[in-house]
Amino acid sequence: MKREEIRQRLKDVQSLPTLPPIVSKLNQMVSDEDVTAVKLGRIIEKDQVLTSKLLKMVNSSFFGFPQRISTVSNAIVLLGFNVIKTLIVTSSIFEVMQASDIGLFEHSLGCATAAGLVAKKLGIKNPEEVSTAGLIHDLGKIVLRAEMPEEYDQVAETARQAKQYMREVEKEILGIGHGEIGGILARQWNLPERLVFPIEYHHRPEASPDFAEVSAIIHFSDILIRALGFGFGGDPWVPPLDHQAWARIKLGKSQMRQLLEELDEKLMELQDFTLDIQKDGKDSS
Amino acid sequence: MARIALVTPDHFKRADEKLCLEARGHTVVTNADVARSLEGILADPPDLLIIQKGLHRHMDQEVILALKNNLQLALLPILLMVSERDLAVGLDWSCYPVDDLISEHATIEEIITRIDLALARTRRVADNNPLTKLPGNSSILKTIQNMLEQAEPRAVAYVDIDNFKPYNDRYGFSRGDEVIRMVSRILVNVIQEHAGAGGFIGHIGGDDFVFMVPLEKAETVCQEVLTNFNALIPLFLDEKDLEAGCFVSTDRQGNVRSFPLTSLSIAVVPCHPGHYSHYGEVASTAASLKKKVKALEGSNFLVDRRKPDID
Amino acid sequence: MQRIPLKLAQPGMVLAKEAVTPEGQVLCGAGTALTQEILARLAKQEVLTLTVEGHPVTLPGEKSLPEKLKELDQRFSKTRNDPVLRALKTVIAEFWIIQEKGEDFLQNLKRDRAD
Repeated sequence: MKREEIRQRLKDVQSLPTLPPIVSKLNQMVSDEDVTAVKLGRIIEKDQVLTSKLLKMVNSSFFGFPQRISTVSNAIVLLGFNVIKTLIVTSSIFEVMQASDIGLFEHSLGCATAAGLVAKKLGIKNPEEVSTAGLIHDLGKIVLRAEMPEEYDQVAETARQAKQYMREVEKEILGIGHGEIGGILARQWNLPERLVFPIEYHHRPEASPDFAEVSAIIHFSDILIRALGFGFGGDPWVPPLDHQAWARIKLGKSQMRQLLEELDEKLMELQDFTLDIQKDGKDSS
Repeated sequence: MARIALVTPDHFKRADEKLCLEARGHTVVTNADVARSLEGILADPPDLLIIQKGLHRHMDQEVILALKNNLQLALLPILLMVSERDLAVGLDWSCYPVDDLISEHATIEEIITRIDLALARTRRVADNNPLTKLPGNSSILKTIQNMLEQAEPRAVAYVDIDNFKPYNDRYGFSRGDEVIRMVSRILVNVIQEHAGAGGFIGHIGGDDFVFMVPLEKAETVCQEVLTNFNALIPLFLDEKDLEAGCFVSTDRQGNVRSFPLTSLSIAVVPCHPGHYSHYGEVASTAASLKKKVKALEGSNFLVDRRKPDID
Repeated sequence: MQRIPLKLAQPGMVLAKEAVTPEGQVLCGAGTALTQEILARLAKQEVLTLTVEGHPVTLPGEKSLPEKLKELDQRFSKTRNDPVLRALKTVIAEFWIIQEKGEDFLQNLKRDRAD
């Protein structure tokens, strides 16, 4: 009952809220003479909503590359500077800012970073694609919050009080999890399956019909970033690990140490970035 | 008949006006939220757009320019809804490259008439390539001929996809179309970034394109186009073929053989003022240069180095 | 030792680890005492973070090591039965201890625990 209702609502989702500091930064850059599409891309690829919008646009039937483009850098080459600029300008209307938004932003960014590093360690050919999947894996949560804010608050509050995983509460109250919601939207937006499956199956990676390795990496990266306490993914607990998925990754102790070292450095840079843009936002407002 | 998008927050609020349009057989697309409307239009352009002038943060201008200049939808009629004063005084048309104006006081009957005219006009202008929306042969000829009469040194470059027919045979025409679209997007974006209004791109047909840029930009543009092409083409090839470094298909003689992975070739003809007087001469220089560059392995560009008589 | 963003580094701090560009090029060795010139050069080369001796900076939102370890433990409270996750927790805890107090401290800690 609730599940069908949600599916119907998802059909109407046209767009999602973006973080004011990010859009603000991009708007500043856009009026700079020296800016290029590539420079804009470096900021856009830190934000899950703008990344999703870019990918949705380039994979649309109008552009004519159905389900083919899975990274921001490729999308940029095809969309071009002026189209991206327009997308940024039209996005600025959707600004919504809540404390939990920054938490989720950081969590997704952290997951993207971790996923990229793990993919490189495993020798995967296109780590940038895996990184992108890590960035947008929680698209379902953003949609929930934007489209059904009361339900989302109810789920968050119940999870907090009952000390439950948010995902469990989603299933109980809404009948559908954020993974599935994200998957529905990603399919609607014609994103490639190498992105759709990790979004849909990041909590049960072995059910992924294809790209099981990528789903496993996102699954593990989500766990790792939560374990490190970086950002906020909806609840403060490390989720259960799917051991079959882990078997695909199986990093040894010294590899893990090395990973933590690399991750630590990158996460500090990200934290710095987040603080900077928030500060810039305050200065320019 | 046509999908009409309305972005007119202060007008068309009455349901009967929309019904009149629908009664003509049109589909009306509208959204109370202006920003959502605009995003929708970029992602899935309509057949005709009616947009109100003076939207928040110049978004009306942004979207009009995006559609006309960057998504190459020159054929998408845009009707701008303006005040009486604007009609009397006029607008800076370079900021508003629209096809017609409608008064905010216009009756629904008048609006319908203008819509019909706009759509009819679209059907008359047929030069643009349907796949890429880029100008076709008559526009190309005119533009090159005009350029030859100017005082600035320009470069005319001919682009084509190597072994495109075998690619189509192996991967199908649908994917072939995607590759053509990909090349056109790369050309549009690179040339826009380096040459802005000083650049021109045309689609001769099939996998053949031509572009013009100021002479000093030619090499940079070619490098970047080839770099971008090489970065993206793997997305349009199968894993197995990528690993093998070649793909198997039929050649023009009907023989089955292996072909190298798809690459792009560009033949650049510098046009110094007074060197060429007719478009045909440029094309002929390009033809022999093209043979040379296509013979090279991988994606390449070659610039005609023969010195002009006037020096 | 502490990892800090470059812009919070001051002359007088000592590098605990090499300063490396984003591309991986080593610019300064461990043990280098930072000066204004060195910092300017590192900034020009787009180095973003440095690992320095001691704990000279209070970073926004930074927690003490005991606090971090306690929170780490709480985060794993729902998955105590999973040996892989237990191992992950340990690796993270050890990583943080080494970062803050050095490898020797960790070894001593382990030895004390074993006794």
